Amino acid sequence: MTLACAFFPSLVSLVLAAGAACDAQNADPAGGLVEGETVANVELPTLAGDVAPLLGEEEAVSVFVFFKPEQEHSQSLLADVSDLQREFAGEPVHWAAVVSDRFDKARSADLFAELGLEIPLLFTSQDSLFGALDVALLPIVGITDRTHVLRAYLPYRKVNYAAAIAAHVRHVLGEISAEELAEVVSPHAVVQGGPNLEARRCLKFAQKLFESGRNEKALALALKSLERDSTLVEAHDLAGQILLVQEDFAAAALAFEKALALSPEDSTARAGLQACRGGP
Amino acid sequence: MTSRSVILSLLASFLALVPSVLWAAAGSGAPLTQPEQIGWVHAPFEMGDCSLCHEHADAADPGALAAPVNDLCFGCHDQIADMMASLPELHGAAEDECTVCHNAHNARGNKLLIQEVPELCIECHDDVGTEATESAVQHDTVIEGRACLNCHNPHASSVEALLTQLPFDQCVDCHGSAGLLDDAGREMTDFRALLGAKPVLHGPVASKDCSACHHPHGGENFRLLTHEYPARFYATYEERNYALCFDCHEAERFVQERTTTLTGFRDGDKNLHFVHVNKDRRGRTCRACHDVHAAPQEHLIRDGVPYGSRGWMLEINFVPAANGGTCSRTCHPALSYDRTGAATP
Repeated sequence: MTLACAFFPSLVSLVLAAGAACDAQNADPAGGLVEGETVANVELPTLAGDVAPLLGEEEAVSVFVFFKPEQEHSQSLLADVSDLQREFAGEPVHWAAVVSDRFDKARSADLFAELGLEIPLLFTSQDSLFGALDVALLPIVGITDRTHVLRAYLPYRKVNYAAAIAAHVRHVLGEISAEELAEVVSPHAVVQGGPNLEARRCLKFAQKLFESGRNEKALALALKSLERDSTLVEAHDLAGQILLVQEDFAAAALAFEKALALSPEDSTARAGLQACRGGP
Repeated sequence: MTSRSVILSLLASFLALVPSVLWAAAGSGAPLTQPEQIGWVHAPFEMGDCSLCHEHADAADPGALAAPVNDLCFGCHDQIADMMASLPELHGAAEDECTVCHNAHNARGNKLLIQEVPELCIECHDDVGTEATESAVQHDTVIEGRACLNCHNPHASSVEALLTQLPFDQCVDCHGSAGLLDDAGREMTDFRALLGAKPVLHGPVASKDCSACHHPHGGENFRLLTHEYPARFYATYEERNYALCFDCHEAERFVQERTTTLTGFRDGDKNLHFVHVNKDRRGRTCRACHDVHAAPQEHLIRDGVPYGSRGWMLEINFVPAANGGTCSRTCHPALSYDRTGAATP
């Protein structure tokens, strides 16, 4: 207890940024680790008995994972991390996992071996690091940038966890924008259908019929497409092309004019109109 | 063996084959022939344009398909093709062949599905079917109306499990307005209103992950909770009583009487979580102080908690301090705690 009391304050002051209260041990841990703050790079014991840093010194991104070995969520996360590590192989990303030495070290090592996880496995003495950082939930993932500023602190979630971790890493690497990150973290609803879906389906069908020479049916479907969506330029173009083949030049010209009214740069309609007027 | 028994054996064998033949016909993608079976007809088939997909135009003998199934379908249904090309989560059945679920000629079901939903989905996802129909607590949205399609896109999505949105965004489609009642007639929470009023969110709620605590298909616990959770204000402390919370939260912080690392809710090193919760009979359950979805204060401390059978709200009156806090005019007179304090007995 005395040793822990002696060690603990120094550990806490190491971990929390300058500006944290000197009495950090007893400060309100309501926030724990907070995005935007700097996480100091503590060194923690490894299975081999030496020490290793929590964060990378050279890498652009550091990802640390706090976990419990017998917990289903932790095992699921570590399996994801194993995949993510391969996904980011060759990129400047440092990975580390931390577990309390309350748990059997050999079990954690076995878990890593089962999952093919090749990242540093670090131990915190009797939850001291977790206590200092007020880690109330396990597992949890932290992502820092090159200067060790915490960019994301992600507790476990059942859906899209690996995708969210990967997206945050890519964002810190500068590979995706904030908008792209947001689309992963909080994706828009995937909607099937839409106002002109049926129009487009009719158009596609009409195109295939036209290609196989069934012009009457193709025209009927092109017109059906336009009933569903009169602004579908390609449907006007297709109707014009069919009418041109049928040598109904007046009707074909009308179709092409409608296409050009909607899309003045429509080259298909321009060429079609020219053909209607007997041009080359 | 007599000739009579041979005939009977052959007849029995034939009768045993009939269902499988019919099933094979239904599942093979061949056109249905019985009018009462036909609800939808595919336009190319209806027009007799067999050569759009087959080698020949002859409806009596169209021949083999002219290209792989999905290539043919995506020729017109390009929106589906675009979705499957651009989204990360794909339905294996759709990747395999559209005809796993659709009959390209005609079908009983909407959208040329060979069966109605959810029966079609349960053909493969039978475990979900069992959960949905045999659980003690059922979720109507899974088995009524559009059923599976209420939450899942059957082709592709940007969300795991082919959810059309993150769980919370889906759930509030129903659980985000007033007046929704459960089977017992009790009004359920309007989560849009709740989260609008209370700024501190529980982690899973902030992550939009309702499935962290709730089984969406069906379950054995109240409110589809994934694990047991004490229904009352008081409970005997047993770890299994709190299995729901301990799925993520550290159980250790409730069993150690003294600590300076496991919790900030301590007076010196006297663990106040242990004091409140770890009792033989009248342990205060998590709900006594914490709101599970959202709260007005940090650590999800609630304003008050229903107490007793008449729904009286017992106020918590928690006021935080730099190194601790005070609860007053609540279960007990004002009591304060201070993490910096000397170890107390």
